[in-house]
Amino acid sequence: MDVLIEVNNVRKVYYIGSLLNRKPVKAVDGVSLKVEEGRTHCIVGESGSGKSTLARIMALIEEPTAGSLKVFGVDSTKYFRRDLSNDSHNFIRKNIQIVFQDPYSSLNPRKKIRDILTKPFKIHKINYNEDDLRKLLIDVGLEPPEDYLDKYPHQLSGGERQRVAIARALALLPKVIILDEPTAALDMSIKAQILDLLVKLKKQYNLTYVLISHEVPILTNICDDVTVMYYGKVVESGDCRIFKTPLHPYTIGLLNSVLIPNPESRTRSIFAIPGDPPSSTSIVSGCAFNPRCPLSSEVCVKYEPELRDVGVNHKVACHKCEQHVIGGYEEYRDSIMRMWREIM
Amino acid sequence: MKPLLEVRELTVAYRVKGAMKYAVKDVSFTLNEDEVLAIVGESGSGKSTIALSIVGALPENAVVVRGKILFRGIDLLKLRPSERRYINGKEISIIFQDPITHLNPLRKVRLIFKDLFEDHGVEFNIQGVLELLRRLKVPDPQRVLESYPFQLSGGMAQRVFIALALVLNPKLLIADEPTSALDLTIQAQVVRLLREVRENFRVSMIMITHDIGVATSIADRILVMYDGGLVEEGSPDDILLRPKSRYTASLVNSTKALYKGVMSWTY
Repeated sequence: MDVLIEVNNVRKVYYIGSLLNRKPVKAVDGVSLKVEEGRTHCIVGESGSGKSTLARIMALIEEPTAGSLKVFGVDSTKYFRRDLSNDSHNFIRKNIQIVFQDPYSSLNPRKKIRDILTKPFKIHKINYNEDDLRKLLIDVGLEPPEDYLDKYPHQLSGGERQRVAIARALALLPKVIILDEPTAALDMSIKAQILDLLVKLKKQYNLTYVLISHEVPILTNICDDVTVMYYGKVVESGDCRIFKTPLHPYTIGLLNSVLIPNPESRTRSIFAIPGDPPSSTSIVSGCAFNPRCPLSSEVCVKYEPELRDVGVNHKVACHKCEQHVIGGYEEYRDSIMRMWREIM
Repeated sequence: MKPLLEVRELTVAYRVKGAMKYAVKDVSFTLNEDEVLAIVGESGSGKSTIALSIVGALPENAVVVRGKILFRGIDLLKLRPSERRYINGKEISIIFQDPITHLNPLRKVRLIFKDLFEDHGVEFNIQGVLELLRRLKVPDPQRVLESYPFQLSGGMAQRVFIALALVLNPKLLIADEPTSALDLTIQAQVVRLLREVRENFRVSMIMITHDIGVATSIADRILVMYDGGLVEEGSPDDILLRPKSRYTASLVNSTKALYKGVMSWTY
């Protein structure tokens, strides 16, 4: 399978604070990953984990501080500044589209849906006709399209707006769509509809998705590959089987924090990882998760763990999990949960 | 079981460009003492309007067309503003999702507590506040009292906010979407904390949420709202396993469909 996007040891540092008291925020801190053709690659993490910054780097919106980015086999590091006269740059921009979380702020309130959908064609100087616009709207389930073309975004519901944003991303028939929390701002029933739509469009348009989300239960439905991020770094990655056998204590804790709507949940105790994630400017020595981790020991405070192979298509950045998993996976997982429950 | 709050035929409308838009239509329900009730609905269902009606914080363009809200027999809708202010915070309190924006950024936590006591003419009892913070598992409560809100971590600010809501021993705690748009692990922390509150404090609770998973994790009884009306009322088991209305069934099914990946493997 072709690798469409290859991120190599990418870092992004922002500075906050006043002129005399500038503090670095390492939003993305040495991340490497590969997005393969035809897959849905999910990037999971909580706010502050750097997943949205990573998405914006992959979409060539945000220029990384260090590291390299290869898109469609071409080194794209030099393409961050917009230059549509360059063919190769043009090709990359056209083939990577992004859908943002909030369809209220990602659509221009002064433009009609028609203008919003024609903009990508105009930017890339591609001919289009009325039928192209109608087909886009039909494909995203906004029918009949005549009813929508001359409306303004504020006349549509949240779900309809997100469909327009998806139609705009589809307009130039891209290879990759980056979905940055596409369902987070929507109601439960709308989430399900948008998810179904994304699955349908992926087949119809032969798409590759990069899905950024903190909604773990939802992304398990459509994910092929997963990268779990914590505090700017990748802690675990692999194919979606890692949801069944997560090794990193953070991934285990995250998956156990889901509040499942079933009758037993009322009597079952609720699990929450103790402590707070580190604040964006704090410096944690060693493994960033060590203050909250039940397996934490001296080595975790001293040295930062590398992301290592621990199985077929399964990588983990943890000093301790391998030596603990020897007694069998379930035993390992339960012991972590037990240790956490004791200190809670 | 004694009823604590009785909402009778509540109908609330918003005046929008001269027209009346009905947000809550003829809703009646009862909350008993020591009970936790969840009101579940999607955006625009009117669930938050109900919460705001109970605490008397409706926006200016809202009109209570009809109905009563009886709190221990007193109709809250007939109270004068001064009487309302006395009840809010002391008898009924409300918590929101984002605690930091609801805490005065210029006052230390200790002074925020002091203001609350003084507003209700209660003598400031710092020992009681410390004790409460300890019960809510705030580490180093002395230091927290001398901090400004922005110096607290998200989890700590949420605990302080809940402590403010509980410190005058209210009978009713309303949680208006306390967890939506929060990260998974923080959401779990908040729901866990509210569960501890229900076990350790004698307080009834109304939880407004759009998340059936959150509702079933904490509530004794669930009301489902759609388009301003009450479509169903039942125990979490009824709602999940034997929904009577088509709307509830579709809401439960779409949630279950979204969660089907995790249903099988969470332990």
